[in-house]
Amino acid sequence: MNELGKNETGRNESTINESAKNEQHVLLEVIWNDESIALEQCGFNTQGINIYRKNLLANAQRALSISFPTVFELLDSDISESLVYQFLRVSPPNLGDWTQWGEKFPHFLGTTEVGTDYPYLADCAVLDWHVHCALHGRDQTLISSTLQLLSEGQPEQLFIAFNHNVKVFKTAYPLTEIFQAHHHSDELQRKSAMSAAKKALSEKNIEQVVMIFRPEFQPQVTTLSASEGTFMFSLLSGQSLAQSLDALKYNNEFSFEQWLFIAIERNLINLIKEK
Amino acid sequence: MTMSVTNSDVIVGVGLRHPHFTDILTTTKQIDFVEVHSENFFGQGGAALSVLTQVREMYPVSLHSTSMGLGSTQNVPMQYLASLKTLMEKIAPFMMSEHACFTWGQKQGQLIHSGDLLPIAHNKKTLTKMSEQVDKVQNYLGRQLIIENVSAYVKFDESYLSEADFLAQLCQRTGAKILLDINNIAVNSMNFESGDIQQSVADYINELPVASVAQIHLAGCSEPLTGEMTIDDHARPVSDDVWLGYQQALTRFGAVPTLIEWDSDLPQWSVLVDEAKKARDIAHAVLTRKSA
Repeated sequence: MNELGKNETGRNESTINESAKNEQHVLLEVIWNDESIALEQCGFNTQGINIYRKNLLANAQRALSISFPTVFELLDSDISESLVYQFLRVSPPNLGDWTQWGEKFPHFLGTTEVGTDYPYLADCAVLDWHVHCALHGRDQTLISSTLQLLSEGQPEQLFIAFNHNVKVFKTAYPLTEIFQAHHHSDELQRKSAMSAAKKALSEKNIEQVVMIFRPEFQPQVTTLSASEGTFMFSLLSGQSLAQSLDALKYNNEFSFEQWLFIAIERNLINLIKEK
Repeated sequence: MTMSVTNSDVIVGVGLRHPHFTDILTTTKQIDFVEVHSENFFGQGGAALSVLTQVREMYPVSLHSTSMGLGSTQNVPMQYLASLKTLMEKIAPFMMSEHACFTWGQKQGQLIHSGDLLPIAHNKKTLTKMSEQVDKVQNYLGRQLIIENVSAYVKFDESYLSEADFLAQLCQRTGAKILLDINNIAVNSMNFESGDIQQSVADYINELPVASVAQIHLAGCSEPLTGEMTIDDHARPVSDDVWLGYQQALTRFGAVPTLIEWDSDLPQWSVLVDEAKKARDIAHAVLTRKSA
């Protein structure tokens, strides 16, 4: 090896090429691997590594508690810290933005002991995630000129495109009540929602259709009636207006006009389109 | 939004965090610019982005990124850069900054983000790789980057350049500038050097070319427990040592835009404004003396 291949300290540059890459890998490994043997063998300052480990866990816990506020309200802090620790290992962040981390947390919760003991936790996490995404989602409002199609077009040819922040899903738990029990701005409403949630949890065979929507900037959560749910699921799955109304032809309670009025008020619809 | 300063004036800004959104939009203008963490506004819409857009109508905005990881052996993911570019186009920041650190790596073959600003080895290998990344990002964004020195809790045996020398060479190679964080020098001085902060700052800034520094960060951190390392938590007012270091930096670099950072245990908005006023007063005194 000639002298050009060495740096100021006389080290071989190609060796450093590999070791520099390796050093970053080793540092990441020892931060993410809590085994004491890893710490002893890594060659880094123990106190420094522990600071990075604590920072990682604290950042992850802060991020998930913001994205999943209901779930973290329901969990004791020692359990939540343990869950965050486990989740970091099975689903490490890979986007450089803590806000976007956690999409797999609801599924992960379902695989844990606490998720088995409290089966509504995973569905609460689904709801929290949809609300979190809606909070940062695209700003969309109704393109009102497209409403004219409702009076001019054929229902068989008409389709409703919902705003991206609208999400609808079914659950076997009283999610809306649990959510309101923790997030409603009025204390009396929170207490009332908590009582309703406890009562519903003690009953069997609950089915709730939950909708998340964003009228302006603050996402809202509500429960849909069975007919509203059927109608929304049909439209969201790409069925035409006629097909979606047809799914409710034996339901006398459903009024499209009334639904449309509320849908506009809640900023559910982006546009009406013709096939 | 334009800014003009005389030789004895420094523009002074404050790091804007979520709890102060209402304050900044409803109080009289007492600062010159704000800095926000880019990643907090990567969403496609919503209230936070709307607030930032309104703030941008009132103040110049500096976008300070924390996740780019320019010193990583992994390339900066395009998805991240695309989000940053979208935000840049919306906000038209007057400055864009990042850290001289690594954040990206692999775990079991999968890309992971460290979630922290991890230190890099200061040597030619890292310098070459980081220069490539800075070039690539600057070309992609069509903007100059300002690169910040970081506080660290471990050091690489592979380092043989000082961080100041590393940054000076990086800027010479790429045309980027330096964001000089005086508190980070202080934290590293206490954790790895003599703890003589004035000497550490003097040594550091004397290695930097006079024209290389484009922004200064000032912050404070909590006192460490005995025998423990100092953690750069941005939870306290700027310390006396850091104010003295700021004077040294102004004497060498002149009227450089200055920012007050505070991230944990956030005080009232007025406390941050007072810290900014203190920075402005100190800068005015130092620069008036310098030009006399």
